[in-house]
Amino acid sequence: MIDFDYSADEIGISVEAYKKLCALFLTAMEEDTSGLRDALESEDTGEIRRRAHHIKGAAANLEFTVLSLKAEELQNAALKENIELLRSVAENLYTEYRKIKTELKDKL
Amino acid sequence: MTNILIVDNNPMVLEFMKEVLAGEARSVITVESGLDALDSIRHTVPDIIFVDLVMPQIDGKQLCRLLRNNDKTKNSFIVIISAIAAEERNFDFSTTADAYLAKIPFKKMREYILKLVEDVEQGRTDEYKHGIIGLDQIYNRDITKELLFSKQHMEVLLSSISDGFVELSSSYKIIFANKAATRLFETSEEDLLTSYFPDLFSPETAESIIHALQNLDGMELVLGDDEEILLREHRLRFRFNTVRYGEYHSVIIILQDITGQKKAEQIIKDDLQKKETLLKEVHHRVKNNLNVIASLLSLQTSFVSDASVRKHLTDSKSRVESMALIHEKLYNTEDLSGIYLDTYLEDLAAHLIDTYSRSETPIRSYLSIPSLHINLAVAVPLGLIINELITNSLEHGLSKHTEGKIELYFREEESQNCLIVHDNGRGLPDDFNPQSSDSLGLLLVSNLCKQIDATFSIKSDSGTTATICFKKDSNILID
Repeated sequence: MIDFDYSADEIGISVEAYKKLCALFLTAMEEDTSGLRDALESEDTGEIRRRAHHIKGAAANLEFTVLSLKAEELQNAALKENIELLRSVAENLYTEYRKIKTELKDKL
Repeated sequence: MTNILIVDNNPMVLEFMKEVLAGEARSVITVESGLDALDSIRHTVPDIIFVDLVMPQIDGKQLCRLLRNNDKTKNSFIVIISAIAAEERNFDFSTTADAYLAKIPFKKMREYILKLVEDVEQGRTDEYKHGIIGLDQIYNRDITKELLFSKQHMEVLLSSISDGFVELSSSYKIIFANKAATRLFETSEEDLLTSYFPDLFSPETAESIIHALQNLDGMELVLGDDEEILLREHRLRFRFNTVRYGEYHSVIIILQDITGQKKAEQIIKDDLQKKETLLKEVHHRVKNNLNVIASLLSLQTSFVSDASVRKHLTDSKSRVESMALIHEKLYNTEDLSGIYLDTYLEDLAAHLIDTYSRSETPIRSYLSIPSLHINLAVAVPLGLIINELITNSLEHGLSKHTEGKIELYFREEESQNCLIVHDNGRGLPDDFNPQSSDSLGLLLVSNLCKQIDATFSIKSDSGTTATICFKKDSNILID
């Protein structure tokens, strides 16, 4: 459950600005998740690490802590270069992102 | 009023910083690229400029350098903001920027940004010169270090190469130029960056460049080999390549100065032309001298009454003329390395028939020879061989013969090619033995065949058939 008032207050910006950032986050995430899927397909672990790192930072900025942790987990898993493990961790990340996306789309 | 310019290709960062910094006493402009930043400072001179370090097109370091050297922004307070601060902790930013702020989570970043701007507004800037703000909240990442090393590697490589290298944005503005490019354009990097590339050339060249840029299809495109691309006294060749990564798109152009190469090519061409003219002249003179010898022999013949001596002089004259014909062919062709066998033998046969046939015994020649280009070393002996064989046919086989004919044809066999001279005359004498013959003509043929590594045979066959064969791998043919 996303609490816009709480998150905006934590960051120190208005709720309206926070919502704008959330909309930009969704756009950026579409590109990152698509790039992530391509990187998994081509087993490009370097690109997986870059995408995961980007998601981790963007999610942390907006206080999406669980998603940020999933991205960090993926970033670390990419170091092991185990594609099956990466696919499984990535699935967890997609699931968490889908929850956020559904909620944001309803509220924005 | 404090004017603030923020340059970052991440829209979230721009929106966040704008929200944090905008207020009654501040005007905030956000742009997503170095090109847009340089465009923006034409209209408004910022007091503080935040520059992201890692950006496509003009990168942050480059942009800071340009801003620092720009008259309008040389006194602006420039702040680098970067997500690679941990990996760049030893980077000395003091020559191009006044502060360096690590990109950390928004919650903490807000605090640092506000303090920094307030300090600048109050003139308290000394503390920012000494290190990266927020460095304690981030950590080193191997992948970033690898990327930075790779980037640095490329930068060293590009600054060392002698070819010019420029990168263009999708609007064909220069976003990167190496040292060699600045030397070619005889201007500074600052002047080159953001210039519209086609404008650096003449209108005709600019048109060709735009056409090339608009027709890039992912493959390398080269311009300047056939058409002349001039930049002052330099002749250039362009190699266009496209670069795509996600939504980013740029064009890289390698500029090769081919002035020296083209001059050298022209010198070689002129030199070759002179040598060809000279060689043709030599062949012309050889042919003339041989004809003088032939004329002398002819003249001498007219003073001799002995039929046997006259025959020897006439034979010698015809041998000299067969050689003269080769030199005539050579100076009349473009390629001086050899002659075409078909036209040479046609002319030789016609000339010999004209010299030796008598009016009461008209002789016809039939030739079926492919247009083989043979080298000069073989042409002269082969010409003399054919000269002897046709002369023998005309003098012996076909003398007093009505409807005489001489056939010259080419036969390709499995491992050799053969040239055959056949006449429909009386054939060889019954007791004829080519090995023990005392004929000078046949002795010449035999020796000349050895010289060109060919085999020779002769036999009676409804007349006389002489065969000269060359191995297929012998190098008598050109090409």
